[in-house]
Amino acid sequence: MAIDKSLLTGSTTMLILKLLDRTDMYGYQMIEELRKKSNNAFELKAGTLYPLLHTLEQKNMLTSYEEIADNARVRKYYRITKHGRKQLKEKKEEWKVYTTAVNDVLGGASFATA
Amino acid sequence: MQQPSKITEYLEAVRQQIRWKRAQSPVLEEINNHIADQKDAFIREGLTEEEATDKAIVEMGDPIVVGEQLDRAHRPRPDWPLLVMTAAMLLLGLAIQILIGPNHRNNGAEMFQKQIVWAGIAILVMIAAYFFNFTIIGKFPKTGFLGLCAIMVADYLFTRATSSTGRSIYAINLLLMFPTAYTGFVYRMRNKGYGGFILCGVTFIISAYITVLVPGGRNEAVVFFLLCTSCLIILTAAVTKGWFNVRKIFALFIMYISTTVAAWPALFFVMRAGGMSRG
Repeated sequence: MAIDKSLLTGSTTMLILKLLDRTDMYGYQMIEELRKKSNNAFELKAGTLYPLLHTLEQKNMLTSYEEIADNARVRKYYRITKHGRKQLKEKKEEWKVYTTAVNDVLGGASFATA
Repeated sequence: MQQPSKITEYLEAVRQQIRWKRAQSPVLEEINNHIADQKDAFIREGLTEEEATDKAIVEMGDPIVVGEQLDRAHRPRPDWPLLVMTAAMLLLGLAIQILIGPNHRNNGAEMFQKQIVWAGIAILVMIAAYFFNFTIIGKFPKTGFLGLCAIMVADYLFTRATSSTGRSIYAINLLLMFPTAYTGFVYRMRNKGYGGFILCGVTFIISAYITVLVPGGRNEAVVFFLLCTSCLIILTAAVTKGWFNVRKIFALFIMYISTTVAAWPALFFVMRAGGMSRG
């Protein structure tokens, strides 16, 4: 199912931090991983991803390093920082509060089973 | 050979949006690698090379929007040499004032105090201009340009009635804003072919005509010359950078021939008008 864009924008940062919480990744890998994990629900455009990654790097939530891949292409890997992990935790809390509230309004348990 | 050039074109469009030059090449390399990865994936799915390239580019999104977002992520750092130079020139101006002030036939000390006040105001205005986001001019170029024209025409109509010695010469200061407004307009006309190029020519003529309309006393010919030269430089840069997708040599030829033909009578008229307002 395609998801309304406005729902995605706020949570994209959290999703990216979550992906990197597990392992270091490069941009293309993140888009692929997100698509697979969400059953094609999150079609994150590269044009959105890179500006966001660069902003997060400037805010010290991520760091980056380069590695040369098998096909001689230079990959820019991103790694989550301590500050980034802290932010992720906060954002997850916020998200929990928000989704619980939305579910309560929509009808709580019946929404989950619908 | 057509395929790499499509990617190059895309990257170039992105690059032009990123103002901070030092950020450009690492960012573009990353984007380039991403397109290559995406293209390889599409080829593995069974698309031909050309289809894969096209689709990979579409997946990236509008290069202008992507470039603008990247530009926002990589805001240019303050240009310290420029700021230091400006400050140095301001101080130099004050120093000269101190040196020649006391011997001036007017009240030197009073003038120096005034100069200090004006220097303070100038610094505030400069800071405001420095932090002003000029991309707004690129977003609303027509409004900006027409608004400026409207102010000039209103000034012409309104102040003529109250003054017989030529209209408000302060209006001439507003004319100095025309090149900025004109740049915004030209930027908006990019990728619009000959139609866009001709519209830019028309707005050039309007700007020049308004200069003739608004007398600036003795400075009139100078302002006219400066404005026309600035607009010409802007338009030449736009044509040579390929903004209009027109035949560059042909467009430049048309531009300079018509300007040369039009410039002489216009300049003559301006100088005569300037002479009249003086007399």
